Amino acid sequence: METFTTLFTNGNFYAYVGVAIAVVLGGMGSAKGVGIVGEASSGVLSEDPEKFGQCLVLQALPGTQGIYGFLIGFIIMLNSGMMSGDVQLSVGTGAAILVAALPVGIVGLISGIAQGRVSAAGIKIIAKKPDQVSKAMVSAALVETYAILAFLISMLLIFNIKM
Amino acid sequence: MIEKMEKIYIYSLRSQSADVMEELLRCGVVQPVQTEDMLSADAAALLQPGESLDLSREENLLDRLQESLAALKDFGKKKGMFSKRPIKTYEELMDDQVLMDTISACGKIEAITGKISDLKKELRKAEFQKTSLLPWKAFDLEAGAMETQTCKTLLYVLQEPRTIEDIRREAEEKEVSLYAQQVYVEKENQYIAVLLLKKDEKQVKETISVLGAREFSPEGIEGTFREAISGLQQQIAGLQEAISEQEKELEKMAEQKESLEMASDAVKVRIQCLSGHENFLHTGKVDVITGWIPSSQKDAVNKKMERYDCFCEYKEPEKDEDYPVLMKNSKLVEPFGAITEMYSLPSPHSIDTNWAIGLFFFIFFGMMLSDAGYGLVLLIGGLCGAKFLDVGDGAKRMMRMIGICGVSTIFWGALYGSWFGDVIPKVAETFFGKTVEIPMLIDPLNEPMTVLIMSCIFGVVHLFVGMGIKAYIMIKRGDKWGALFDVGFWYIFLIGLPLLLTPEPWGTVGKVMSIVGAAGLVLTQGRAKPTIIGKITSGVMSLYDVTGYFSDVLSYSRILALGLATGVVASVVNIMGTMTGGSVLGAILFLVIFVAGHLLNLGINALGAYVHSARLQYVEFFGKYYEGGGKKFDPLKIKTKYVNVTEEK
Repeated sequence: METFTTLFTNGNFYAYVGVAIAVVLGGMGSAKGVGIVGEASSGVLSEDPEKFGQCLVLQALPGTQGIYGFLIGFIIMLNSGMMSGDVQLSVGTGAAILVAALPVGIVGLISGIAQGRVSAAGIKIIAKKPDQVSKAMVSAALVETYAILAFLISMLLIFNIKM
Repeated sequence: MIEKMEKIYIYSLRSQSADVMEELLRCGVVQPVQTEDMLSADAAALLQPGESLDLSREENLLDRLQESLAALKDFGKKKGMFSKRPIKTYEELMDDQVLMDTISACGKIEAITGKISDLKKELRKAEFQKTSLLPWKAFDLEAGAMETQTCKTLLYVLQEPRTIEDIRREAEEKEVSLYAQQVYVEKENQYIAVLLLKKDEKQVKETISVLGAREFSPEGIEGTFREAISGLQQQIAGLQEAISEQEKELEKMAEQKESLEMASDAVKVRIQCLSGHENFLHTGKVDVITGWIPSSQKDAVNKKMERYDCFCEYKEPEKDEDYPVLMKNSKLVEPFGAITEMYSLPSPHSIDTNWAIGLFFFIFFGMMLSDAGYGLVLLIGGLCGAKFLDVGDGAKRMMRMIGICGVSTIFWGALYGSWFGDVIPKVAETFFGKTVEIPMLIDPLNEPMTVLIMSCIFGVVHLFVGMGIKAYIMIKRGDKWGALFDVGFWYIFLIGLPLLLTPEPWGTVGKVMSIVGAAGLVLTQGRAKPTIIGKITSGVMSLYDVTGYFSDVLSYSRILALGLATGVVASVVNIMGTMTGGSVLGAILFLVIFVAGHLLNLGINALGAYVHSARLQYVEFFGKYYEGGGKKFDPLKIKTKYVNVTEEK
């Protein structure tokens, strides 16, 4: 009989939670980050609509965490056979997948927000010295380093789990 | 390479100095500097201060031209993305006759816009009057007939929650007789006509004003309200017609747009020539025009100056004097100068390392984007954009750089077997039922460790090149031993450490190298400290820097991560595109998803590759040797917005 507690002895469950964590947390971080930059940029755009392109570039920067989370989720789905609907994972494997999804999820959440704040501050550079926008981009990229490192670890972990 | 600069002093007759400045502007190779900064204090004290010329006439004219252009903004043919600015020679641009004609056209445009704004003002007034009259449309008494000998009709606007009943009740309480009738209701406003006896007028007004009603005065209206409204409507229609007639006139003027634009550029150039005059000291008869000039341009300027009664003198900068920096490189390296400039120009006493920055940016960008299809798009888009779009020098340079990086992207993409992800096998399988194999040397998805190690090796090479440049600069300045201590020992130590992990006999070599390197570092890194203990401590402490090198190298792992991200998103796009199967509808859906998905992926990942390649230069590479702080060489040259100025056609 299937009860709620049998979930915890089911490997597939952990793998699905892993997908959700990677996609949800990474997406949340990016959504918040991109949102903060969007709010800041409309202030500049109301004065000078021609700077839309530059603002858009800065706004796109914190969007990568969500993509990394999505990618990890997608790779788990591909490798574990979720796409074809045929998932047969042991509890150990499932739990390993869940843990492998944690770095990209958690770091993505925090770094997405932090990167959004750096980029939003960079919007001020666009307002005052538009030719210096690349400096704002580089400081935002410094934050992204940690999302990249987390993504890399999640990816390498998942590639090396035997499913 | 950093161009050598010299100081130029031009002694020119005051009557000719405006022409001399114009000539310098056309040469575009001299950066004017205040005379005081280029002369000794004693010499400067002998000269009289320069005065600024009166530019108000030119500036006023420029404002007028700009306003006329703004008025014509919506008329005339639009400029497309590929349209180029007209090419004019300097003489054509500065032709006085053209300028005069244009100014008269400008006057016409001003007259028309003046008329339009008057008409619009009148139109607004009529429209306002009309809206205020509209609620009273149903009131059929003539405005002139609202008063008899004993009676009078007043019009009121009453606001909710008060109603007409309140007026009647108040009147009853105050015992005044009146007749009230509701004319119109609109939202919370009620329009009410009140008939009263003239003798009660004051009392009635008081009573009603207690209720907060506003009196509406029908002053200036002839006939009934309905007639007045239709009269206003006619007036509005007439005004609108007049405005559109004037706008047609304006549209006719749109053919003057090009000459207006040219004139505005001409006036701008004129202002450029005349401004900055206050920077130059003079003797009363002779102006001393001073500035920086690249040594290679001396002859050209000398030749141009022969025509005037002036004398040019050149001086090399003092040994420690800072001069403006102009970097000169081959066509392939030059676009990457933008990366250096974004950080900071090299100090004039340092060296230009654009070749190294360009080379590694090229490699890293390609590795991060690593898709041959995207590379093709960047190569074609970048080079065509630089050739056919008229977007200004900075943007062109950027496009050239992206185009060049496209080559590297194609190379790495082909190495990884990635052409728009795995679109070729996917399409062959879905639409044609065949399996196609794309040749590849490395599959980053299956062998991420290979790519990771490769990335880190490129990182080590990058860092070692940076340290090598530092050693080169030190040797050039005569500090050979410093180069050995600060760079040579680190080389030995850092090469020895990883060799420790390799099998014999390399392990022993590694051991020896690490010990020699470490010993050398411990003995030399504290050499600036005064005491023996200080020397030893800072020598030992310097070994901790190895953690810095370790994290620097690991930082290059981002190359793998960004490369994987591009590849996997691309294959996700392809999976989504081919999900609907091989039908005709499937093919259409595939095309839509293919174009949109890959454009998005290219956009985001090209941005990521650009930013992170730049970061690897700034943080890891520049950290090893870079000496920034140079000021950009900014010569006086023709800056135009609407036309392209050439010396000869």
